[in-house]
Amino acid sequence: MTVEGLAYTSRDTYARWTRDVIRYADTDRQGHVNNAVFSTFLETGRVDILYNPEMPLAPEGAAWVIARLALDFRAELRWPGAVDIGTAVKKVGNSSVTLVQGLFDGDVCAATAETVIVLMDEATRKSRPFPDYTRNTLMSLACHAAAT
Amino acid sequence: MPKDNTDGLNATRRETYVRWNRDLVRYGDTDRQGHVNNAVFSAFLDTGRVPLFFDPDRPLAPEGTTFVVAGLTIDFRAEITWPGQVDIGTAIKRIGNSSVTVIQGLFTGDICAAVAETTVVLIDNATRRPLPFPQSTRDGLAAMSYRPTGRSQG
Repeated sequence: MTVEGLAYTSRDTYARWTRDVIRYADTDRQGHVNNAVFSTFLETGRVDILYNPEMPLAPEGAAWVIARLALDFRAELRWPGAVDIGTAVKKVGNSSVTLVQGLFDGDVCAATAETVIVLMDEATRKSRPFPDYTRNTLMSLACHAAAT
Repeated sequence: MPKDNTDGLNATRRETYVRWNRDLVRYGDTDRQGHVNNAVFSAFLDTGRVPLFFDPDRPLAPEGTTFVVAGLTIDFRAEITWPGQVDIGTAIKRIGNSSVTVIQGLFTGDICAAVAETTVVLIDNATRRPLPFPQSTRDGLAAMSYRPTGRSQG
């Protein structure tokens, strides 16, 4: 499954929302939120899907690992404030899934990102095919393609 | 990106990099999976870039300007675990008008744990808009260009 025609900077694209509060300690000497913290915000959005106790996705003995992150910085984030993290599934493979994410400060899209996440066997540390329920749940979180 | 060998760039090899920094892996860098959390990789990359861009002995950003990150792509290749340290190799891949592409590798011993490309832009502190590089900045960046290593090993 792959979704085409995505508008990453539009809130409408995302299926799931998580909110994080910007900490004072997230800022650096340039007065804005440090770039590495953007990765943490993205993780806040991802774990809300991947490790949600009410909707377990990883089978017993398996865990999610990140294989790739591509992050486009579009605007600065500043303290004080909160960041809305939109997350959705773009592509479901055999043992890996591509997620798209947007970080929003009100109407401003501060960053967009794509991550490739792999289901890994915790004993062998090798990738492991998705069971059906994992695949089905991921598909239910597919991003909403923009009308053309 | 690691396969970008057309110009002799082998991001997974130590010989590619011209600047080196070392960071200690902190216990608090690990997550419940027992390895260093992925967001910490971004912080390690920062550790490598900052001495290059904000070296007080060789300032690259003119008065009233600063460097910001516009894009970051990380390929995660191996886990990093505590205790240990990480060697961060950094070099310049491409110099544009007001932006520069930085190539980096994170190494634990002989293992390349990640390679990354970062786009860094020079901006005006007041307007927050991009500024063309002065010649001194351009020359300073060019002096840190990556070392071509010929054919890919992989």
